[in-house]
Amino acid sequence: MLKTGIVLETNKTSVLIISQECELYKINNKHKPSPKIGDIYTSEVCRETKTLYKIIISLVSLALIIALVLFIINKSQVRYSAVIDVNTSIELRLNKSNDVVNVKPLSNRALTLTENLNLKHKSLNQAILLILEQAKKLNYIDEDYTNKEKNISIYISSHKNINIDFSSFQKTANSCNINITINDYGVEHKFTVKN
Amino acid sequence: MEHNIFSKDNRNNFIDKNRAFIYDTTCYFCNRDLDWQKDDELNIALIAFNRACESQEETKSSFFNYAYMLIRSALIQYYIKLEKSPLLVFEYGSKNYSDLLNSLSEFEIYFDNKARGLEIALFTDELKNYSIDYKNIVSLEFTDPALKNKILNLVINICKTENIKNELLVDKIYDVNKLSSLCDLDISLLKKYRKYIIMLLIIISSDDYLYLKSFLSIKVGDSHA
Repeated sequence: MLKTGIVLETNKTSVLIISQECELYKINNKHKPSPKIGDIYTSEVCRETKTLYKIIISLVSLALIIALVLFIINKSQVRYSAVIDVNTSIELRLNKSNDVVNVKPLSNRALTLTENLNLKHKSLNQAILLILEQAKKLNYIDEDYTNKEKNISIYISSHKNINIDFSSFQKTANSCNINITINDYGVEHKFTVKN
Repeated sequence: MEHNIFSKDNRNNFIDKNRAFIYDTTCYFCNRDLDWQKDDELNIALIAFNRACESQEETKSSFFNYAYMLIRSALIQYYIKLEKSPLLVFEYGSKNYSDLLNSLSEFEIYFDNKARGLEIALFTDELKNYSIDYKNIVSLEFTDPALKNKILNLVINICKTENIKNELLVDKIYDVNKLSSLCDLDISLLKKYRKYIIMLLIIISSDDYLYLKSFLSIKVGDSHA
């Protein structure tokens, strides 16, 4: 935007003018030699660095807020579920990152098992490990259970485009001394105890 | 030759020849057609033009530019003295003064710029007495032209009220409650635009800033008070 006015102050890059409408503007100093104080001078209004900073800060803040909102949505959005059968059934609902978003005990026994467990935000494998340890403590899984080589069954619903790493379940099976069978939406994975 | 034109013997003739200039300058400022027989504004402008003839030797600027400045300044002073003056406004995109400046010779532009430069230096120093820096004012935004016009008319009202004017300019007391009685501006706006109001008051109330005052596109608004 071009502005004309009487020069009030000058420096190497800009000129301060008072316009006919009695407004002060900082305009670009484009000419050599620079205009003198008192001259009538016309040039483009300087884009204030302050304003530019404000715009940049606003855009960055906006981007951060959007990223945060997307992150929260992503973290809290249930994408699939896993039902663990350990003489009682517990449904874990998980997000895209395979973290537990919420826990749904499917019986009173399951409620007793999970009430003292903090499973939220744990990975699927960590949550299963905690459930198995708690099930052992509460004798839902006793020695008789393990001796008879019964399986702990886990049913996983459809999880399109979400990769689940099953390799860590072998470690869980070994540490809990119990066989784990996972039914991954029709595909079976078996993890038997290896001593 | 120039001296002969402005001498007392030839002045009446010179003024008569330039009645159209006086009339156009005054009508433009007053924003209406005027009558030599009825309107005091034309007499005020005539007196100012005569004063320009008397004192033209003091300036090396174009005589008509000088006379234009004196006429506008005299009309502002006249409206300040009137008990009920019309509303004044800042005209956007005014070409009146720009056209006059464009008609100046390089020699006249040089002396005008020099005189204006001295005036600005004096003005900058005076603002410092009120702790006003141009940077404080350049950051102010006027998205609504009506606000600036309200401030202009507030300044005219301050000039009419000698005690408030002295409080502001001499005692440097900025009493927003007193000022709010002279205009319909919120106290928050009076506080926000304090430095601007003082700056404009200095320009309007002083006879030292003729160039600056006449450069501002002040004229009578469309709605007369």
